[in-house]
Amino acid sequence: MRAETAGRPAAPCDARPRFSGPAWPSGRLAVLAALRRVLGMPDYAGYCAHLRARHPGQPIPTEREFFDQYLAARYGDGPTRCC
Amino acid sequence: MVRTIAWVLVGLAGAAGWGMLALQRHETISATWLVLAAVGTYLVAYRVYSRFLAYRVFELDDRRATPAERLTNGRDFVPTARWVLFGHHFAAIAGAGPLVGPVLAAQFGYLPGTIWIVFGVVLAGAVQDFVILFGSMRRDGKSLGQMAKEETGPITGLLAMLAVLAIMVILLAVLALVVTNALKDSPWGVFTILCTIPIALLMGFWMKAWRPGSTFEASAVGVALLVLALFGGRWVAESPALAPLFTHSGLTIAYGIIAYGFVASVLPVWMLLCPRDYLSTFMKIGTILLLAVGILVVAPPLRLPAVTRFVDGTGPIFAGKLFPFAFITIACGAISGFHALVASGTTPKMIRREPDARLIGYGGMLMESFVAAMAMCAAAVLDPGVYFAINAPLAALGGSADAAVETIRTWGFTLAPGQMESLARAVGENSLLARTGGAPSLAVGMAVIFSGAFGQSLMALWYHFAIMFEALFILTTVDTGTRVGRFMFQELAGHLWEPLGRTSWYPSTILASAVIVAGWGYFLVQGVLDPLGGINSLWPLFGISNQLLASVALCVGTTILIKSGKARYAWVTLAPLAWVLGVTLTAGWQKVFAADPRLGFLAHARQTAERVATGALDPALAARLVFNDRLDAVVALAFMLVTLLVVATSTWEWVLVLRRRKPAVVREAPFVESAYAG
Repeated sequence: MRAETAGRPAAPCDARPRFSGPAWPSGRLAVLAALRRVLGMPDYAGYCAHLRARHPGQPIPTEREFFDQYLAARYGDGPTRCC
Repeated sequence: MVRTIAWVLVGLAGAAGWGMLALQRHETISATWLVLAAVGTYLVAYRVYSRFLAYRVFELDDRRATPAERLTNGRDFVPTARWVLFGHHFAAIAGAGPLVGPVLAAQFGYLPGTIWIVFGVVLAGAVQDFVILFGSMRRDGKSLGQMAKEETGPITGLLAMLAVLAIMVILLAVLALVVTNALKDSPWGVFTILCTIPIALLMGFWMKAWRPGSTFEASAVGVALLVLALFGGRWVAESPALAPLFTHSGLTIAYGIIAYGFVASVLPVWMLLCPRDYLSTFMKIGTILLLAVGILVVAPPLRLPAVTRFVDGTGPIFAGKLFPFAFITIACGAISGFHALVASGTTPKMIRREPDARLIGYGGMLMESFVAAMAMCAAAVLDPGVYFAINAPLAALGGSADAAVETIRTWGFTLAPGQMESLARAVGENSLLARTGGAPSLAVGMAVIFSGAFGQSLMALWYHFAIMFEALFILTTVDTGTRVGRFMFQELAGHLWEPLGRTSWYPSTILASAVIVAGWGYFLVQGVLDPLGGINSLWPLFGISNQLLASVALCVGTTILIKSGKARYAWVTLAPLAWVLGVTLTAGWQKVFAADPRLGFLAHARQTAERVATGALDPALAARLVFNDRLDAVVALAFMLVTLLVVATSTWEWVLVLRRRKPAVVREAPFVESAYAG
């Protein structure tokens, strides 16, 4: 299954994270995930869903490990807030 | 048909708003008209101009996969729903600039500033944000500096990076000065803001150690504690034993902010910076919504004249005529070069489909401009006499409260004896006279609006709520900005000696943080000691640097347009570039060379030297003032030089491409079909 899809863009059901509906998120969890994005907070559930869909063999980090990785990526380079 | 009618109505509403602003020049009118004019214009511009930009000029392609789709990693590259990303981007670009700038520019009356806020954003600011967001989105989320380097050349890239670093230093200094002036001699404010540090530490440990990932929970607790701290501040200010402990001079507070900036830059992010970021974003979005509701509910009258006599350049808050200084002072509300850094940072990595960039880049900046328009309302609802008594430096007001009443009368406004004292008592401050920097008068304006909407008895709480909100996110900009400056310095220094470039090596981290903090700290202390209040010299310097960065961004945008074979549309970036460059270089030139010592840095240095010769000034203090004036002049000239070099190298590139001496090839990431299309 994986090997067949390699090389061309992933099918929507693989690539699409939970909250990327058309324009607005729907459902309680999706709304919470959306709020996290607005505020610049990490979304662990979304990351796990991504890993399970795109990299099924890979070990899933703990929430604490993910938090560290996320902060390093977010505050690592470039300004995140303006004047 | 219904849609057409709706759009015609929107257009008419905007036109009615402008009509009222234009015609009712000698009577006070409701702030609702100003809001109507702004929102009507935004909607029409979004519908017409941004559609032209998105589909005709830049040809956003629904079928082209975005970086968020191709490089999705669940962390920073995440396809995000369009309105969610709009909120994220807006929260990132909105800050103190669009709030403070219009308050200061209200010196010219509310009309000139409002016109520039609304039309500037439509034709310049939102275009810049959209173009850079588009460019970065087509280049896997590359930064402005990287795009300048790849599209124009390594020299331009290096110049852009130097410009960003220099702007960061001035920006942090002026923002810290705004906070200093808001907190000086204010035990309530100081206590509340000091409380944010232990609250942030608590949240940090909560999210990291106790309950990993519970960011909402920790933030909710943080916001609740913040409200407690607000009430605690009142208790402290009323306590004869505690109040003196938290009453400090501007200089002490400035050194405190400098020490805080250094510590926050060196500590791990999770401990202080990240929790403060969440706290301030919560507060920012909440307060801006509250302000919009307040203005709509109260519909306060605009008491400030539409145009004041200070358009002639004799204004007490900052020197200089309407042209060019209204356009410099408004800063971020109409166009902000700094946005180019965010629009080429986290946002382009989260766009789900290309057409979304229109709402996020162009629409996000319209929203920022709306915040600026609301700040203008908050300044204009004050009595003009009160507005000038708060914002003019003490020296310009005549030195005392009694003299201020007389001085303001000579300016053509009225201030009753004792009016400032009773206002200060009402908001729980020791004094509101000459509290330069914009934040206190914005807070008074917001307190007037909020207490009009939610009850008069809470005036003091609303004032300190507004001060806390401003100080909180300004200090968040100070710590994130110092950190970014530190990384940039380390990257530059790493070219000289490799170990200095290692961001995880502690000696390098400490050295780089110290250099950046010392840079903005120097300008901050200079501003605090300045007898004219500091804002007079530092805010224009910030405005000039921010707009010159916008020129750099518009140059990059023009290069992208010309290289992608769309030279016939190059005017969409060239026209704002010409205007912004013209305005900013004129302002820079006047700040350096004008003969009026209130305006020109060099003339002020000469005047200071003369006052020493006549024995009117202490030579040691004078030497310092003269040095600072010359330093400011050099900084302004350096900004102008760097920008002109970027414009020159870019123009050369355009000429080469247009004369077909160089191939018109852009370095976009290759086309990949999107799975979302269809």
